[in-house]
Amino acid sequence: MNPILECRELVKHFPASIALAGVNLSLNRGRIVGLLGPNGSGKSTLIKLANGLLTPTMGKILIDGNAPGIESKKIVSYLPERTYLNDWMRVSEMIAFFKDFYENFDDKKAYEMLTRLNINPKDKLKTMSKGTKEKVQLILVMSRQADLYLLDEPIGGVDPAARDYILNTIISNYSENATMVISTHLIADIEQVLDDVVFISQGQIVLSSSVDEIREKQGKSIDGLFREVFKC
Amino acid sequence: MLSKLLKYEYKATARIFVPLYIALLVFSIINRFFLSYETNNVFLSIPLVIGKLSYAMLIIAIVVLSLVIMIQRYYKNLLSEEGYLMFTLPVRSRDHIISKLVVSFTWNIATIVLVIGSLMILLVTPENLVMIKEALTQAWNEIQPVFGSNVFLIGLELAALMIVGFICSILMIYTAISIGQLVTKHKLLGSFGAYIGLNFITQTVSSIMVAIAGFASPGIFDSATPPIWFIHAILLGSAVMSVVFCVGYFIVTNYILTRKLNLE
Repeated sequence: MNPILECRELVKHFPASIALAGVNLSLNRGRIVGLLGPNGSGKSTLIKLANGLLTPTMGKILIDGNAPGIESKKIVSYLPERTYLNDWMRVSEMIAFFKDFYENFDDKKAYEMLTRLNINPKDKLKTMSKGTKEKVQLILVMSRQADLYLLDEPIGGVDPAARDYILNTIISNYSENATMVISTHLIADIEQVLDDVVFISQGQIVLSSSVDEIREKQGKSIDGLFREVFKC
Repeated sequence: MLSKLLKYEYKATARIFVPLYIALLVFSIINRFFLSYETNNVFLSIPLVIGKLSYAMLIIAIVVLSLVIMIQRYYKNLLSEEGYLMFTLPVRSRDHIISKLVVSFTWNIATIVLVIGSLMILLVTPENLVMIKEALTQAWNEIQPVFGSNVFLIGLELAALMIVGFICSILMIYTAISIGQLVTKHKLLGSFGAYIGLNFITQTVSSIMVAIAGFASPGIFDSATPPIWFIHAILLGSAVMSVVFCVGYFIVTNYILTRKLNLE
């Protein structure tokens, strides 16, 4: 079976910088993976490459053995670090949109989560606060039965109470074979849910390991190790 | 998937165009009554002037918006933040282009029809109708002897050429915007530059083709009216050339969206 996400010598240049400098990475199924690194380390670039929103300069990125394309987009659920929703739509219209395009979208689940977070489906996205929009986006993304979830800074903009609910939702929603990649620098908040961690710095993978291994061998928390590795 | 894209594209644009169209029709009807009402009273003439001005502005606004929205839907929905959503849908890039193209085309045609319709609401009276009919008859009497039985065929060719040419100009704008997004720092400038460049290429190729056609058929411009077959050849030749350009623009745009996409 192919790894769900694989990078081979993946390089991405931007005119002014090198975002990824030869990344080799293989992620297995059924794991919650923390993609951790300081700002500008290449986390978002890696995730965008996996979604086909950027094209690699060199090397390969494969989702379930395929380069990003229609087949990969069917099984990848992506939460970008910015709001991408059509401003003029209502939440309910956005749900219909997702249901129309993604076969694995469960609208019942989406409505349940909206009720739970006190968001009115009839509200227009234009009138919502940034935090509420982020919650709506996360709900849409988590209501899909995907094989790979790529969550770019999923908890950055929401309050701690909603953060807890969201993390719970993430854990309880994810099926056994699905892999979830969570990119963040708020490590302490998500540490307890992670199975694996990938540390990325200046476009290179500096560590890829399971959380248990780190705790056993190094006797440190992920947060502690992160502070050590990325000491300024 | 194309039908779903079309559905949402119509939805996204109808909310702008439909209210404008309704406003246009309402103002045509209001102005129709104003036109038949004459007064020397300064106070009464104020609403008449306002009505006429608003009508003229509305027409300009609709025509300008048809173009602006064509550009804005392509750029904003595909190549800015909303592109994060559109390009993570399991949809082919070519379906994105086709949906944008078809919807823009429809609204532009609808705008033309609506503006003509509104002018008719405004101006058509029994007397005017007679005048229009006379003008049309006169035009027909002048055209018919020249083209003879070919008149319908030539009309059809002209219509086809206009439609293909229009599609071509939309695709050229899409290509220019797509090339512009390859320029990382100055996207707008890049798009403008690309548009001027594409325009130049198109014009040059067209001129060369016309020159070749002229050389290939010497003496064709000696008589006042060129032979019918030559008119057919020019119209069909131009239409074929436009189709070739359309296909070229489409391929380039699709290539950029599929292979060179770099959303910020």
